[in-house]
Amino acid sequence: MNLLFKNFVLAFALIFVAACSGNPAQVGDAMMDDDVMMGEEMEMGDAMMSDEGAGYDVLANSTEGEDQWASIEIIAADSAESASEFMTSNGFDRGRFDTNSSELYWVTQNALKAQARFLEENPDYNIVIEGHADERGTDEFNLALGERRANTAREYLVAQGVDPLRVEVVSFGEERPVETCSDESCWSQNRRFVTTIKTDDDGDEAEGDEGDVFDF
Amino acid sequence: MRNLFAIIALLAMIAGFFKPAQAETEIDITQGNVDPLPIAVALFEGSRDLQASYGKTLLQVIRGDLIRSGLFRGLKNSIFAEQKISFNKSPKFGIWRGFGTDILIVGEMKNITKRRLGISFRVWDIQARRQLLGLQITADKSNIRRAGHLIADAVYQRLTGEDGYFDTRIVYVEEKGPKDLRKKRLMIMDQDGARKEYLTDDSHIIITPRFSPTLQEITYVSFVSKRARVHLYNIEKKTHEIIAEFDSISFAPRYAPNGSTLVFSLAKGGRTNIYTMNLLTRKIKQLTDENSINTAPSYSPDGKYIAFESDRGGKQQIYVMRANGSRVRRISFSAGFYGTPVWSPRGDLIAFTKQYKGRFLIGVMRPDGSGERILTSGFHNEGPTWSPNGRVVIFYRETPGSKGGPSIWSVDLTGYNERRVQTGTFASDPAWSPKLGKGLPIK
Repeated sequence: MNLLFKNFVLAFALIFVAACSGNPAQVGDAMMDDDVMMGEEMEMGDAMMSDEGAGYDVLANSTEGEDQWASIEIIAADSAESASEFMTSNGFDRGRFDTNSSELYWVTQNALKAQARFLEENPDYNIVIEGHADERGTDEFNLALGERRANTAREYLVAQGVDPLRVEVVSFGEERPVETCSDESCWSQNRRFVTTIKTDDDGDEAEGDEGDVFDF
Repeated sequence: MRNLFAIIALLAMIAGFFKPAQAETEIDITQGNVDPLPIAVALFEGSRDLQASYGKTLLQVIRGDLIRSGLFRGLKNSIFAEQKISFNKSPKFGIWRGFGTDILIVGEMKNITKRRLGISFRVWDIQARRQLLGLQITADKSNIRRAGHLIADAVYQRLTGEDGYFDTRIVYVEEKGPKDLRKKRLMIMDQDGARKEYLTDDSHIIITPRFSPTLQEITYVSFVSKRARVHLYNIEKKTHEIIAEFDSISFAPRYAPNGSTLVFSLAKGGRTNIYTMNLLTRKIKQLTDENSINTAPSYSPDGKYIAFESDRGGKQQIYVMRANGSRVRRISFSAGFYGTPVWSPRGDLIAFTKQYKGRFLIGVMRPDGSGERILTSGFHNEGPTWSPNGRVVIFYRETPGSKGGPSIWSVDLTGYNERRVQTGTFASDPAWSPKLGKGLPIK
């Protein structure tokens, strides 16, 4: 029963991610390997990147089949800040990726399921999914890769029943890392998407950008 | 016996003075390992005032340009400071040979008006004992450095047969602050680092500025309300605008050689494709339509082709297509990930960034993909851009770690003369302007 469920989800994810990344062969290899799910060492063609123990902090020990957030109570937030805080403190506001990949780990899919339930419980809030990449790549490609990652998360949410109009996708490429060291322990954390609650004056670090009119 | 010896020595000395003229000095810059020519640049003659205000600057600019090119090495001024140099007389070739000089540049300055300075200069070939070049120009006193660059370009052109590249500017991104919250702003400067000017403030992330071939504009990407958008900056009016309101992120902009078409990428739905926009009509055309990432487009100098980066085959490689999007061909085939292709203004080469075995390399290849050569390799090198004469590549290099950051470097086409471009701060994403003018008329 467990095995059937596992295969079903894997198959679902396989189809889903194959549609997104456009490279079935690569996806197939990756998805079948349980070790990849847990973020362990994976060879990627010529760029050998090891991902030792750099998986999720809280969730590295979970096994697939177990949804860490399945039983948490989703609150109805009374402000954008508390909505944000709830997602972040419960750890389902983000997901990570392998090098050059936009495939969702098992644990990321669970996180997105929690996001979907959150959005259902909080119809007044919309979200912006930011895609990021680590510094090991070129500017333009990393912007595109960040978008691809954020979009993968978005499509998973839409498949969970979230209205696509509630989900905006942006990419920061390699511009906003969370960790700044130059090895895999930091890079793996930077390869991520982060879901944020959309606010009216959504700007990057600046105060209030109003659309496309700005002065320098 | 001693007398005979003395006579032979005397005869030899006399013979030395009447040696036949040697072949004119020429520099071939296509070969590697060029042995830099010793060059002496004299302080141009003129009144004490003129020498103090302009002579020193001209000397510094001309000497700096020529030595930084890697083709020349300078002689210490102290070696020949005592020499009396007269602009209107040929130099004492024997003495200059004795100093080890191959090329000597002399000049004189005259006040023309309050604003204008007359500069005359001569380039002497010490080995061949003749003048290679002599010109008279009128310069704006408010920008004497430019006159120096024009003179350096003329010298470079006369000696190599190639167009010079000193009368140019470089636009780049200045970076400050911690690595996880970098403050970026657009900066422009002369190619030798002088006359730096901010073009934006640091309130938005800015990346990848590029010059228009007509010089009036710069295109760049700025993150406004978290979304990357392609912008245009009008250099004269100092105004900024976005090219269009897209409901997706836009980035990787470059100009077509005609200056009125912009090529760029739009990323939506996990797919990134290449588009062009006619800047006059604002009409947009889609050139690629793939379920993959297609970005970093760059036109060939004749405007007929576009090189770009795509992972449609599984990992990032370089492709070339016709400017209308047809006839896509892959041109990179070696092991590694290839990106940021940039076509040389000469049309003969495409520079690129390559990732291989954990390192970043800057290299060049012919437009058919053959003849791949690596110019530099290290922890992180990226974003090559060409000088307008297609002889020098500048790029940026990052140092690792939390305290690490980017700086701008240049390297010759031959892979030699790798140098840091001084910016005083972390700096990235350099782009070279076309020449600011036609240059001085030399035969």
